[in-house]
Amino acid sequence: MGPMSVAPIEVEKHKPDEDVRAETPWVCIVWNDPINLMSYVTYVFQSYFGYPKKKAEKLMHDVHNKGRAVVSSGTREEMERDTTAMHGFGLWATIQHDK
Amino acid sequence: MRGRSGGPEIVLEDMHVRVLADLCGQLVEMVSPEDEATDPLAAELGLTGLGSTDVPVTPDDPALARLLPDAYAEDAEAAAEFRRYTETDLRLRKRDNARIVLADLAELVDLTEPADAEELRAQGGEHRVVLDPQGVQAWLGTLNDLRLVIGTRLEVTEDMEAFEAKLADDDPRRWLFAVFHWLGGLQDSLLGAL
Repeated sequence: MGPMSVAPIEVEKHKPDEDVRAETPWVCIVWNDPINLMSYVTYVFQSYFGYPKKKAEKLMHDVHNKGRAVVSSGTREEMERDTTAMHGFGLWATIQHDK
Repeated sequence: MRGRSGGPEIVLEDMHVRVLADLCGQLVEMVSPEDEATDPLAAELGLTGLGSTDVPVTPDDPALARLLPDAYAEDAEAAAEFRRYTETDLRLRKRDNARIVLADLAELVDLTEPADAEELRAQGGEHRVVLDPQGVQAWLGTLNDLRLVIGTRLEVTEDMEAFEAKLADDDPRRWLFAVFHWLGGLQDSLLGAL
């Protein structure tokens, strides 16, 4: 990451056993960056996830103000698909196991 | 703004068409898979890199790393694995978008003719592109990718104005900032027309 980036915070390390992993969902997180336009981030949440404008705007504000927001949750495969899609749009997204 | 067919419309001057085409050409080169022998069909099916023993790494270039970020922040192994299966596809998607924009631009101006600054000023022609849904995706994605690259090169922060104000008048980054803001305006107006 470039020096201007807000690096993903060091999240708590976890090594859950497979049983736990299977039961609890994974999440797709979008991180704040100083480049993407707020209007574009809202558009992405609306057009890709099909979220209503109000929800998309709330998520966008969360990303902007809190530094990150969980934008979707589900199986690991689903979250990998969402994360790839976010990267396609140019949003900075990561996958994380929800704890 | 909307064109007659109802699709959102982009209006560009001659000079803008050439600047944007130049940037798109650079973007195509930047995101093209490093291994040019990559079989496009294999890439489409997600089969690239399967036989490779190389561990894919986060690109050294911060701008390219911003276009192709790590998908796992806390797990380097999972991030590398994910990159192995998805990076080529992501690169091709971004390249396709930039090529669609380039093709639209090539219809407006003969890009093979070298630009004569005097002539451009004299013509001052305005061009219009009316976008279909696929075009909208490609243009928005490409404008955003260009902003990510330029913004990363400029080391843009939330406090962009303060940073920019500190630059000397003859700092070459001023031109890049102008391009950066112009791309943002173009992207925002396209979003507003949807």
